[in-house]
Amino acid sequence: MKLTDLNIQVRQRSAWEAIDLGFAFVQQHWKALILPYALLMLMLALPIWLLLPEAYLPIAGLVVWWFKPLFDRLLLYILSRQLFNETTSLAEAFSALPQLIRQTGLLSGLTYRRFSLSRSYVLPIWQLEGLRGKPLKERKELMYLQGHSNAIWLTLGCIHLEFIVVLSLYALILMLDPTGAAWEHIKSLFRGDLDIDTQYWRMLMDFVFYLLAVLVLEPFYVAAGFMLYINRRTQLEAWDIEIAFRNLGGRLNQLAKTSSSVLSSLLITLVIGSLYLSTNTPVYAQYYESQHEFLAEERLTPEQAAAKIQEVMALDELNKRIKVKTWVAKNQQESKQSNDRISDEFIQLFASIFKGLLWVAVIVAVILAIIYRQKILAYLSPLRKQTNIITTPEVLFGLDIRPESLPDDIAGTAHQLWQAGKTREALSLLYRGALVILTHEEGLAIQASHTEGDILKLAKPTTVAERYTYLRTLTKLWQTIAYAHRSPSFQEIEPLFTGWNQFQTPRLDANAVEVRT
Amino acid sequence: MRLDTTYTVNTPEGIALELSPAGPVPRTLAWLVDLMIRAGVSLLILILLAFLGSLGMGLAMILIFLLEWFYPVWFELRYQGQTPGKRLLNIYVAQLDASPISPAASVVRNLLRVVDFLPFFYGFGLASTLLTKRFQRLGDLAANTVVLHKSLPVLSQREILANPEPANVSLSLPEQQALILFAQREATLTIERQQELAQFTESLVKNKKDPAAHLRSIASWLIGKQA
Repeated sequence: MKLTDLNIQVRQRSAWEAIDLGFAFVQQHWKALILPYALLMLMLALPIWLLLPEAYLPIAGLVVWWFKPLFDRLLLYILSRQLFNETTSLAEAFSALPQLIRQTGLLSGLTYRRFSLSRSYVLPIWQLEGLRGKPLKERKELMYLQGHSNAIWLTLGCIHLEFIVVLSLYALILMLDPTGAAWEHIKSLFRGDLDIDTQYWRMLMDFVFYLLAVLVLEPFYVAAGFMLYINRRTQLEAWDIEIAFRNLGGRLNQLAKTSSSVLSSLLITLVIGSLYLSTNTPVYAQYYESQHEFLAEERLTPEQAAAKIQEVMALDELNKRIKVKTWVAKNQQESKQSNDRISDEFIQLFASIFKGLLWVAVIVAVILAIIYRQKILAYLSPLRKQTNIITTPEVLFGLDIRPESLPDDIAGTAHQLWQAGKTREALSLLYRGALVILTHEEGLAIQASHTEGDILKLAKPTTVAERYTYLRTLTKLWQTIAYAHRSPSFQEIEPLFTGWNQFQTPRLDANAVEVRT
Repeated sequence: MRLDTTYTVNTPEGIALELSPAGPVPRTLAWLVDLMIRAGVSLLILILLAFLGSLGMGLAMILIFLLEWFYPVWFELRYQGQTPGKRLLNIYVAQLDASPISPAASVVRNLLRVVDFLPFFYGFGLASTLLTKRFQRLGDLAANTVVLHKSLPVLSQREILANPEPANVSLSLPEQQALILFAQREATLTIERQQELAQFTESLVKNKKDPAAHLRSIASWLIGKQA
């Protein structure tokens, strides 16, 4: 048994997922199962039906049910080979049958173990591991520690599913049978007055329905139990890790071979280091490309994608036009007229009632308005201006913009700094002064997250035009020196010194008051 | 391509999500649990309202009707796609791309129970789940939904205590994951099996006295432990 040949993804699963994997496994491999299995069932069911005395025919289904463990063994034989991609021919399956009957504990399986509720879960231990006696008992105990309850629920679930199939087939017949014979038959099943002679065919129907249910569901049941078993083994023996480690070992071996050959060629050509790496990397690259799969595999080039979109857009579903026919009354106008005639009096009546109600409503509204006049007038008074709840930040992009931090004569100080060659400090001072005016006087809602550009945008709708132009020039020069480290010429910066007072003027008085407090 | 029940959904960020649809058996069992709950509540309603005579019976019929039809819808929308039965089995309903089920989809998939129920007790529903790859019943197909297993944290994961040691070759991601899993599952494996597994990595543990311990050291290094 080579685990790397398994054709299922071996990983740690919950028991329910393992059961579902069994169902998926049958979905994929049912073709390999169905022929031998159906033939075996036919070989068993036909003699049962023909040999049973007529009085016992109603229990034919029970006899087939009793022989289910035999079917299980054949199914497991084929499934276990399919797991390693070995297909089983009809001849192979039937030639394995005698051995399956003799060496898989079939006798106990058909007698006192017939009522075991975890039959499909332990069957692989009997059949594939071939354990008997004490080792078997120990193995079972180990397996039962986990997954046993799931195996029991699996059996109970499959019993329900079998009932569903049988009952659905009955219901289908009932729906499609106009004679009512099927219904009579079902009733007589419950009354217990089955007439053997007339109901022979109906009992055959019961039998065939049951066979169909077993035929459909038993493979799923066996495969689910088998996968539950595999899952438990994976848990106990870390099969997933074994597969990963074997792959790793194989890769490292190959790597050692390639690098040694590269090394020998290196010795001949006496090339060092870099070349070694460059020749060695493709091995890694190829390997990783084949292994990494967290990103979507399908990648289309833009041209391919465009072609694909074209193709989809050309589909019938997106371009189909359909004609819809509907029924329209022939004498539409007539019926309309008759309707009108009937409703005329009603309309009059309703109109007068609503008219009266409306007048009552108006009078009530006027009375209410007089009573509550104060409240209503309160609504009409102008709203108080909402207080600005945004607190102005004290530091903006590293600049301290508290009013206290600035000198009284900003323009003068800035000019002095400029003459002393400290262009950066001069512009910084001017810009800070401007920001203080904007935040504290204009009430601009500047937040710590804003940039210079944001502030300029924010200021545009609220400030007067001259102030805005000044601010724009200042911001531009400030950005040039702050971020681009380019000093402005005197012609550029001079208007800022001279224009400062004008920039400040509109709120000069307010500023003075604030400074004093 | 090895067989698995999962399918992959690619998010716009290019991340592949693996989703694991739930098959007929867990779904049947969950449905049976829900059936029991509904039957119990219906019985309670009938008993309590029986005191009101025929008015009570009428009310009871309306309540049972609402219970029968909107029990799954209400639970699916309210509790992340899980009715009590589904919660018990750790499965949930979601859209095909694993996004939460939308109200319209929930109503559609539960109203279409009528179709799945045909010809008797979910005959068509069973046939559909057995035939579709993601175990969807007809209502699921119409509403574009799927019942998924909720992934649970693996219980056998333990902290890796070994002394970190770097590996002498570069390892791909699946290989690193296998090494870390190996170290985490130390408690569930016998010592002999651990040594046997470690030998499979061949040159990674060449000339080491205790190969399993060496692999655990590498795992410890891989998860970023400092010496």
